[in-house]
Amino acid sequence: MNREQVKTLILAILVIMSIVFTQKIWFYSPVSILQSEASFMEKQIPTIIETRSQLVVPEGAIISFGNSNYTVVSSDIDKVWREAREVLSHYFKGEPEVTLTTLEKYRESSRQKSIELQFGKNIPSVLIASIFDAVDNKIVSNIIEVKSILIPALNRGSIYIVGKEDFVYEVKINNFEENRQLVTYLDALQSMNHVKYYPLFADVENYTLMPLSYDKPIPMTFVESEINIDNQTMVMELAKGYFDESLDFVKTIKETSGAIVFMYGYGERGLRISNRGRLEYTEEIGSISSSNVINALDIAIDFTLKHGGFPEGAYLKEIRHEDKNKYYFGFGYRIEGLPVEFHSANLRHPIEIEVYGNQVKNYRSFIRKNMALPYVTASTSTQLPQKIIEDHIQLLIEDYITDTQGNQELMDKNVLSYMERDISKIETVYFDTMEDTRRQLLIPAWKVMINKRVYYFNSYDGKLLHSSLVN
Amino acid sequence: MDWSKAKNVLIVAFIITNIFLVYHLEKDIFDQEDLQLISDTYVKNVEEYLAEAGIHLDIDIPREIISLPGLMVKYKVFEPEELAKEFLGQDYEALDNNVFTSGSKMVQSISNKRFIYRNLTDGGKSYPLDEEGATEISNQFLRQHNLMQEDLKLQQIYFGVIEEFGKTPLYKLVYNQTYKNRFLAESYIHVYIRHKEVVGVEGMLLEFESTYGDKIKVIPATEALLRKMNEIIKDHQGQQDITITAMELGYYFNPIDINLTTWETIQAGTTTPSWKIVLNNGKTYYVEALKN
Repeated sequence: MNREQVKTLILAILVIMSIVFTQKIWFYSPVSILQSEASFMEKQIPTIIETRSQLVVPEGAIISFGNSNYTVVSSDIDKVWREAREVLSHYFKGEPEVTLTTLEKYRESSRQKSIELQFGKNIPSVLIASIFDAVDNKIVSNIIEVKSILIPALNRGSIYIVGKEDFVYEVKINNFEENRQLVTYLDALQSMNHVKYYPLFADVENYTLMPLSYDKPIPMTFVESEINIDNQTMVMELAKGYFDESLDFVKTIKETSGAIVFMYGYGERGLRISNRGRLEYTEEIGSISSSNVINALDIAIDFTLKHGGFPEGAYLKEIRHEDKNKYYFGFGYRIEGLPVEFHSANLRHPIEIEVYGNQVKNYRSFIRKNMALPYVTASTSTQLPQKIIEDHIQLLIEDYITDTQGNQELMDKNVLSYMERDISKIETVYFDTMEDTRRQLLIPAWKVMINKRVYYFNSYDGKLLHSSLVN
Repeated sequence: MDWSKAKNVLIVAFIITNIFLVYHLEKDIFDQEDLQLISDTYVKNVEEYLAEAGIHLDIDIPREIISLPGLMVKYKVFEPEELAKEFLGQDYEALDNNVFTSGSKMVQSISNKRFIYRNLTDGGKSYPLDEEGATEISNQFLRQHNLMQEDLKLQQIYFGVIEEFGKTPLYKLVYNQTYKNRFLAESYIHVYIRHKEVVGVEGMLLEFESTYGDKIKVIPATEALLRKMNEIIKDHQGQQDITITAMELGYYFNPIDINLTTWETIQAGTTTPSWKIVLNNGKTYYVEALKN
């Protein structure tokens, strides 16, 4: 190689080096400045809207086939919701007439072929309307919160909504198109294998549905926490996400239990991951700007999407809006179609987010995922909840008397009928006993609400897994 | 210009460009390695400002600005039973809250991290003891009970009345832990000696696990003083004589200001480079020496 060729080679190397360095500097500084939070949020907007519509879904649905023939849908709620949305969009997008009506009329309609959609706690109507891209309509202006929506299958231009404090509204549209789509869907559902439900306590004016038989086997399933505290690399990467991708100024604390705490400044931002994989993030916030529920939910969604996203089957369970501009959102999720529930002093729902103004102040989550292990099938069949209630009647009565202390009307001989009247929920769930740290066998359980107390019974052997008072 | 000369010019130009680019890419690293000093004028201004606020200096303000890494440290575990055997021998009585007694002696383990030893004898005959003698007795006692570690440095000897030990004056020897000749706080052993007897020991020690993260350039001592000034004044309202007697840079593990956990459950954690400010009344302040 002669002198000139060497020079050409050196020049070429220098050119390449300068290109590489320039590129590095470019990515190092201007890109991060250009890519501000606002523009990131803008990019996220379609994803946020999409996620919002996936989260604002009913918790469950009661299908009435008519002639006191019911079923309860919890696992395949998406399909029911898709069908119902078609119908509901006419009401939310149109110019409906909203009038107060009676619970009797609601019940009468619910006995006909219909779908009753049950929403989480304190869900504002504006949030449901936002799914239909119609936040400014008569339903929103007349009904603040939506507990449940009843859609008669034979569309006569009316639906019923139960709102705050159990006020019942009839929502009527005049220019309705009669179609039999929903009837066809319900007929198809009826012809398939389904669990039959019946209001067994109707004689004491309690219309809570109870299954008449339960042949559907629910497997026990092994799950593990999404966050593995023993995986240092995973924990560090996860923590970086909460501290602007750098832990340089972040203090770390390890607890004797194995939990890790990360802290920035004097409590400005803190993250704790327990040995079970429960995550708790808290941030100090300055002045609180004004907000509304849709905006607050979008902020909560945006935050969650930036930090690992929602688990599959996530849905909005509860909203609390006690202070002005402060919103609490509780989310649940399903595994194998069933809601996952647990009891923890620190956590009411698997994901909890508190939004102040336009900032997330607290974020807590405890999420398990299915392990690639074979299901465990029980040797016995699923017990019926009424049988379990009967088996535990002494305990339930004792609890009921304790919980309703001060109620003078409660006479010993009447306690049973009072209690039966107060059974408000019967639901199949997976109950996480949290006995094991990271891996856990989820047990199918009957969740029974009586008065202010919730019970979880193993649906196979009927044993009480947990009971506690709820707010 | 022929092509060969043009190449020479271009090579020189690109070398200069690349040096410029490399400098910009790595300037943070260059900054970290450098030992910088703060100017005399700035130090003087701060001294005057502190004096106006009523804080006097008995020291020269340290002038170096260096970079230090964080440390991962863990609490030394003092198993209650082992502690009891070490200080009380085989015959002892176990009471509640990890308290053990034997005759006039008592030892307590608090959350397995801190311990208190007391020997409640009257100390026998009065014995004139000088600082050297007290140090010898103290060191001997610590060696005997396997507490004399290499990183433990005797920092202070105090002689006077300590309320908890009655009205007779006694010696209090303060040992602090160090890491690479810098303080490692908060860890200590306090030894109390009356006459010739060790009447009390308190201790909490840290163990070094690893360095944590990159080196971080610390804030100058002047900035640390200004940051803590208000708190010092607030704590000493109405007092005239506030004098800073010592100031040094070291490592501080702060388990207190953390709202997501409690001291009782902490096993280990990271220290931050911090300035320690000691006042004439013995009160110590720590200032995290981080830029943010």
